[in-house]
Amino acid sequence: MKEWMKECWTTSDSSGSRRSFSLKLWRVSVKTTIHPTLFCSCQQTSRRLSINPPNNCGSVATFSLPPGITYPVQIPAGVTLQTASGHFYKVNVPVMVTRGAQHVLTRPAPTRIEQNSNPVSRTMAVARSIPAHLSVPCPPAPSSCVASETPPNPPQPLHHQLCQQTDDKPSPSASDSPSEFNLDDIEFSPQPIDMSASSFFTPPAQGPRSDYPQDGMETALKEPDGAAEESTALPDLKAETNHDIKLETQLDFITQLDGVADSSSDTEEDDDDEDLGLVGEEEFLGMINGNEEEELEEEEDPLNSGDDVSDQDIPEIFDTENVIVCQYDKIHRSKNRWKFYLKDGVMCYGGKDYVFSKAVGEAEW
Amino acid sequence: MAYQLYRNTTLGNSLQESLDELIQSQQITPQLALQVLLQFDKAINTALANRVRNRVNFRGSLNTYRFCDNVWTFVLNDVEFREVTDLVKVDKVKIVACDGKNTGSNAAE
Repeated sequence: MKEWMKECWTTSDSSGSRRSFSLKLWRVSVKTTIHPTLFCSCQQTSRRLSINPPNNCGSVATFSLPPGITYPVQIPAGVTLQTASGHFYKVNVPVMVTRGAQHVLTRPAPTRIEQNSNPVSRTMAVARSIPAHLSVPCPPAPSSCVASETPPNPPQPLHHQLCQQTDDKPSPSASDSPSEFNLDDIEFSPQPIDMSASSFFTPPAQGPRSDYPQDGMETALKEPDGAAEESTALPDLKAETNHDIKLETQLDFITQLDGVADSSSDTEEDDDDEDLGLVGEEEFLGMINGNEEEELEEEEDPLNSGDDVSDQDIPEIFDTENVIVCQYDKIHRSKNRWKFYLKDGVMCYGGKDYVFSKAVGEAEW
Repeated sequence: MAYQLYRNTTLGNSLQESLDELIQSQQITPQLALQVLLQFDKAINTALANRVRNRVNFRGSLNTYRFCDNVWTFVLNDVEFREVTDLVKVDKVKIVACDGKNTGSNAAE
């Protein structure tokens, strides 16, 4: 498998330095902070590769695996994946596409999809031989691959995240095309592969989206509805964008609510607060103070006065002529009632000195 | 080492003042004065433990309490000290008590 992968990765196309690899029906949902969901569906391919970026860009790219490739599929870092429409997606982080689905179609391999300029285009055999990893299936969702940076991440939560369908996506292709199968629970876990490749693939974080259109040949950038539900567990994913997809455009829709755009600044902006629903801390306090200012002032006086508990009395309170120096056997307290069991003491009070071998006292605090 | 607690009594203060005067007049050295005080500590602890056999009761209101370094410090108000023979009322009294279980080294007051 690795060898084949190496071959595919090293195949160079007309683009020269790029290494392109066309995957049929290989659906990989990845999550990155930058790249949108790439979804390209191949019409007659049995598997679809969808790449779902975390920022809900919504584009899904579907790649088909060449025939003969069985899971798990390792995609080393730096690999460039090409969709049917010719878009290139670079794998920045080595990922491993494994098969963990319960619902693998035992159909023959799908037919080859049209490739623009891909020297290697083969469809993978349906996963009969693919071991089905038990994982939480996404009942209505189509097959999906979870690409996670961190292998220790439990597959189940990832799958849950995977099981997201956009409203515009039709029902899983499993029922539509016989050559397709649902990759609900195909785990797409990145594994460190020591391969140097210039191409990159949008590194999957978590919660990849696993929806792919029913038509196979689609190559569209769509905005998944559930992209927001993808987890953000993968940290610091590198995203070298060599392709034309501008994911930053998606970020424009995200309104910055803090930092420069923080509404909780000195200037009160009621409109912003209402629109954004944010209430700055200062403004919040101001609101309270404005409404209950009188009440607070009334409470503050007693509160302030209560704070002045013998600030001046403390140093003076211990300056007294009446002093008892002794040793204590036991000091007992019950709520505010104190009991003293003292011994061997010298008392000086009333201008006279006294001694005692034992002294028992009670006081209420 | 006995508690140096009792140096802040009428008897202990008088001794310290006398020693200071002797040091001032250079009749004794400060080291000697220190040794005298240490001897005083031993003597007063022994005397109180062996030669005193009375009991006192008192009742009042607790103003403050403090427990630091195993030393209790109380300030009581309107305290009545009862002994078999007599009764004494005091407006304010300060009690300094060291641990009677372990008579370890005590810092000088």
